[in-house]
Amino acid sequence: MSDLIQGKTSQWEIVIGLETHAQIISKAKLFSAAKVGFGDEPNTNVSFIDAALPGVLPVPNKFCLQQAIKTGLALNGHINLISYFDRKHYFYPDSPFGYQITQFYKPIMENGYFIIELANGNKKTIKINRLHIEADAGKLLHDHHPKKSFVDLNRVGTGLMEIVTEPDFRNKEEVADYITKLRVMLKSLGVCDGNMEEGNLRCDINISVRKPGEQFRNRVEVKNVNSVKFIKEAIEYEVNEQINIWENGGEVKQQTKLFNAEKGTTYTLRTKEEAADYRYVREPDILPIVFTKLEVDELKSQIGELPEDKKERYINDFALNKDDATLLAYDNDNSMFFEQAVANNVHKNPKAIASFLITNLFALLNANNLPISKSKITPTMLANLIDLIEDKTISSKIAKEVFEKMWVSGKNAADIVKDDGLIQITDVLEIENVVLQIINNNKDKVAEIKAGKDKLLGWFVGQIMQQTKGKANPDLVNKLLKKHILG
Amino acid sequence: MKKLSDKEVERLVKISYLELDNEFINNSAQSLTNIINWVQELKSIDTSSVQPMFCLADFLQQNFSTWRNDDVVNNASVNEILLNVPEKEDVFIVVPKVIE
Amino acid sequence: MSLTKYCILELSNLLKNKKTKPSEIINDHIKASKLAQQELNIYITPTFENATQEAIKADERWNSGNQKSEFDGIPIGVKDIFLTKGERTTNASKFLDNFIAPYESTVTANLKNYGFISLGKLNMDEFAMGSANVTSAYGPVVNPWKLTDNISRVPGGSSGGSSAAVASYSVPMALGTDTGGSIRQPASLCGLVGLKPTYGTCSRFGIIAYASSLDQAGPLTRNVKDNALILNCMAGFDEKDASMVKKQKIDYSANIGKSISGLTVGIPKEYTSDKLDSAVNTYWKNIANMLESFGAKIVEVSLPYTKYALPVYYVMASAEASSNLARFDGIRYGKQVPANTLEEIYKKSRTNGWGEEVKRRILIGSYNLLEENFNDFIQAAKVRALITQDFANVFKTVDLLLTPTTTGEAFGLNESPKDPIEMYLNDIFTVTVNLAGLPAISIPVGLGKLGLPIGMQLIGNYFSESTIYQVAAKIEEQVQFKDVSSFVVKNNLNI
Repeated sequence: MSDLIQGKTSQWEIVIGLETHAQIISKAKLFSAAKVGFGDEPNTNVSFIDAALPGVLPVPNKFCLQQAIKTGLALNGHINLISYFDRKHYFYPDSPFGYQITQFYKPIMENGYFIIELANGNKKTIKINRLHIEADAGKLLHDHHPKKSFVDLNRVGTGLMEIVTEPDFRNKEEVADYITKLRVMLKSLGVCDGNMEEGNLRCDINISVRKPGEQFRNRVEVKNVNSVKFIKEAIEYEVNEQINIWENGGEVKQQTKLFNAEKGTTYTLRTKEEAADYRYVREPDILPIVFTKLEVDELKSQIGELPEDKKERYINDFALNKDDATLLAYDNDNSMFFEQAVANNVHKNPKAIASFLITNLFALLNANNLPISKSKITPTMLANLIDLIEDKTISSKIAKEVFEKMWVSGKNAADIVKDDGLIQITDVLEIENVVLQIINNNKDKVAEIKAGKDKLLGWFVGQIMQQTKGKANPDLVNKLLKKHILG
Repeated sequence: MKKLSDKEVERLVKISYLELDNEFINNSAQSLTNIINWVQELKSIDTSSVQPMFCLADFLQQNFSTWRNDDVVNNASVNEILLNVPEKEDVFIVVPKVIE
Repeated sequence: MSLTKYCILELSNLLKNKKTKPSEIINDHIKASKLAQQELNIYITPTFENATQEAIKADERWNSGNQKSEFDGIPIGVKDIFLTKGERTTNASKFLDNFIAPYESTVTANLKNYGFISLGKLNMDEFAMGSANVTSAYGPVVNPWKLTDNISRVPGGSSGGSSAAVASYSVPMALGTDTGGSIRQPASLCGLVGLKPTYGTCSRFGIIAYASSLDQAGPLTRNVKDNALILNCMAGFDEKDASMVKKQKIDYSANIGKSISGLTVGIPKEYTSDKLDSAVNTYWKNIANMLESFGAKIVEVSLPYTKYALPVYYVMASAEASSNLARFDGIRYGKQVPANTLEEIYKKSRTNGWGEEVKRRILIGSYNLLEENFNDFIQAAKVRALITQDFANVFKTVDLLLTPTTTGEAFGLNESPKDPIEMYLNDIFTVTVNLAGLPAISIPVGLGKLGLPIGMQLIGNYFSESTIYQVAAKIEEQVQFKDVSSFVVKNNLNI
C-alpha cells in the first residue's frame, strides 16, 4: 500500500506525530497522599495540595517516577539521572494551581524508539522524542445545571506520563498499530491500565500533509482522542480536510482541534494566535529529581519480557501461529497461564496447549464471564490433560468432554478419565472385533464404498465410535476399516 | 531605553488575569519600563560558563530528592475542601458554564 | 508591674520556679497588645480569647508537672502569612479577608507543640510585598519608636506587624518571613534581633508563598539568646516540604557566650554605599573594631556581583510571585466577585482582591516569564549563581560577614518613596542573602542621628546559625543596647 494520497492536483504525504497521555498506576497521587480512584464520590479524593490551598507544597511520589523510568527503559530511551519539574501556566477550573506541574525543560527520558509492524509485515521504527511526567487535571461536569459547570477535583494530581513521538507516522494504520502495541506494553509493565474509555490512555494527534519531498507544512493538533477507532477517524477526516484546503488555494492554519465522535469530524478549539502563553518556569517547590544509575539498573531488572518479544518467542520457539501468539503474549495473565501450562506439560507440546487453551478455555471463561486469573482449571490441570492426549490415553474428542467435566468438578483429568472409564481403546484386537461386527451388519454399505462412495467410510467411523463410546483410537479405527473394507 | 507599549502592557494585564484602570496601567507602564531597563544591565555580564540557579539545590548540586511514598493518607474531607469555596452546590465547586 | 518586661528565657525561668503562671503572663501581654493595637495597628486578627483559654490549660499543665516544655504558656505573635487551623488567615489582603485556614503550618505547629500560645495574626505588607508595611489592606503598622516630633514612622516590612509587636512588648517573640529582608529590615528599624535562617532550615509548609526559592521563616526577638531558643523550636526537617534540607536537629544557642577569638569576619567593600547614613557607617566601623578587640580577625572582602543583586532579585522574586499567585482565582477560596463568565470572575476577583503593589509585581513577573524574555530570565538566574558564588568564595576564608542591615533609620509613614525602584533600593543590603540562600541576622547596635534604632547584619555560611548567634551575642553584650521604644516607656511595659 502506498502512503501517498492522490489529490486532485497532486500526491500528498501524511505526516503524523503522537502525544500519548498514560495515567500512571499508583495508589496515591503524584504530589499528594490523596487516593487515585475512578468513580468515587466527587471531591472526596482531594488533599489540600490538590485543591491548591495557600501554603501547600507538592512532594513527589517516588513510585510514580519509578513507573515512568520503567516505561522509559521499555521504550529504549535515555534516562536523565537528573530531571526537573516545571510549571506550565494556564487558568481553568480543572487546574487549581493556575499551572500544571510537568517536565518541560528536562524530562525524565529522551531519545527512545518503538517498533511497529506495517500491513505488509515489515517493521518500522518510531522515534520517541521524550517521556515526561506531569499531573493530571480535574474534571468539569456540564450537564448538572443549565448555566453552571460543576468542578470535581478527584482526578487532580493523578500521575501522567506523556510519551511524545517524532512525526514518523505516514498513515493511520501505523498510528493504530503504535497505540495498540504501546497500550499492550504499558499494561504488561503494570504502569498504566490502558483503559481508553475512562481516559486513562488518551492521545493528542499532530497531523499535517505535504507534497513528497517538501518541508513540513502547518500542523493541526487534535486533542484528547480516546479510542483507536476515533484516532483513525480523526486522522481520516483531518487529512481529507487539509488536502482540500491546500488544493483549493487555502492555507491550513496551525491550530488545536477537538474530535466530535458522533459526527466523526474535527473542530477548532483555538488557533495559534489564541494559543496560551504557558510561561514555563522551574517548579521551585521541588528539588531536582535525582536517581542513581544503580536505582535505574534495579528498575531495569524488574522489567520482564515485553509482549512483542514474547510474541516473537512463541512464534519462533513454540511454532505458534501469529494470531495465537499475539492473543497469548499481549496479555500478562494469558501468557502466564500458558507458560505455566507449558512448563508442566511432560510431552512439551506448546502448540497443542495454545490451541486447546484458546479454543476451549477461552470459550468457557467467556461463557462464565470470568478472567483467566479466576479460571477453575489451573495451568497444571490443562498441561496434564494435554499429556493424556499426547500419550494416547484419551482421544482429543474425549479430551474436550473431560475438560468440561474438569471445569464443573474441579477434578484432575486423569481422575475423570479413570472414574468415567474414558481411557482410549488402543488394543487392535478389541477395535478389530467392533470393526468386523459393524462391517458384517452392513454389507450393503461396504458394497457401496467399494463401488466408489468413499464418504460412507465416515459413517462407519461414527458407528464404531458410538459403539465404543468415543474411546476407540481414531487412527486405529481408520486403519482397520480401510484394511477390512478396501483390503 | 526600552519602553513597553500600551499594547504590551495590555497583553501582560490579560495573561495575568487582571483588569486595570487606565491610571494604573499608565503608572505600571512607567515602573515596568524602569524595572525592565534596570534588568537590561544584566545583559552585559558574561555568563557563558554559568549554570542558572533557580533554587539553592541547583547551586549546592544536592544529590538527593525528598520523596513521598506511594501511601494513601488523610484525604481532606469534602467539607474541608469546600470550607472556603465561595460558590458551591452539593459536593461541587460551581463556576459559570464553560463550554469547550 | 507588668510581666511584659521579661524576655522568653526570663519568663521560662519564672515559670520553672513557680514565680508566675501562664495565665498571668498571657494576661499582661494581652493588655499590652490591646494598647498597641489601638495605637500601632499590629494585629489583623487578635485571638485573645482563645489565648486566655489556652493559658488556663497551660496553668493546669504546669500545676500537674505536665508542661509541654519549659516554654509552655509563653505568648507569641504570628505573621498573618502563616496558616493557623480554624483561624482567619488574610496575608494582609482583602482577597483572603474571609479565608479560614483548614490546616496548620508546620512552623506554628512546632511552636504550639512546645506550648507557645499565639495572641493573634500580625499585620504585614500585603502578600509580603513591601518594605514598610504600608501595602497592608488593613492599614499601615506604626513603629512603636516615636520621637518628640511625634511623626508616625514605618516599622519596616514586610514583617512590620511582627517587629512592632515585639518592640511594643505585646509579645516577647513574633514569627516573620523573609524573602528579601522582611525579617532583618523591620528588626533593624525596631531595635530587635531578627534572623533569616539558611534556606531549607524551617518548613515552608503552610506559609503562603511569595517567592518559593527565597522565602524562609524566622524569629524576631528582643535578644540573641531568645532568638536561638525559638529557632530550636521552629526548625527541623518536614517531609511536607520537599525543598528542605535533611539535617540533624542541633542546639543553635550552643555557641552563645563562647569566645570569638580566632574567627574571621569579612567586611564586603561593595556594601559601602553613598546612600549609607553616616551614623550607620560609624557603627559599622565601631562594631568591626570591637570584634577585632576580642580576637576576631577583620578582613576586607569583595563580592563583585553584589551590585547586580537588586535587578536579579526583582526578576526572580516577581517571576515566582506571579506564578505562586496564579492559584488565587476566586474559585476555591478568597473573595469572588460575581460575574457572568468564568474569565470575568478571574479578572474581577484578582483585580478587586489585591492592592497595587501586588498587581505590579504580578505584571513584572508575567513579563519576565514570557517566552520572548526567557533569555533575560535565564540570565538573571545565572547572575544569581554568580552572586552566590561570590559568597562561596569569601566563605573559604571568612566565617562571617558584617554589614549594615539598612541604609538608615526608619522613615516617616508619609515619606515612603512613591517610585517603586527607590522603594526597592531599601532592600539593597538584605536581598543578596536570600538569593544565595544564606543565613543572616540583624541585631540592634544603637540609635541613629534621629534617635531611632540602627541594626547590623551578620551573614554566615550555610548552616552556620550557631556561629552567627555566637558573634551576635558578643556584639549584644558589648553594645548594651538598653533603649526601648517610646510606646513601652509610655505604658510602663518594661517595669
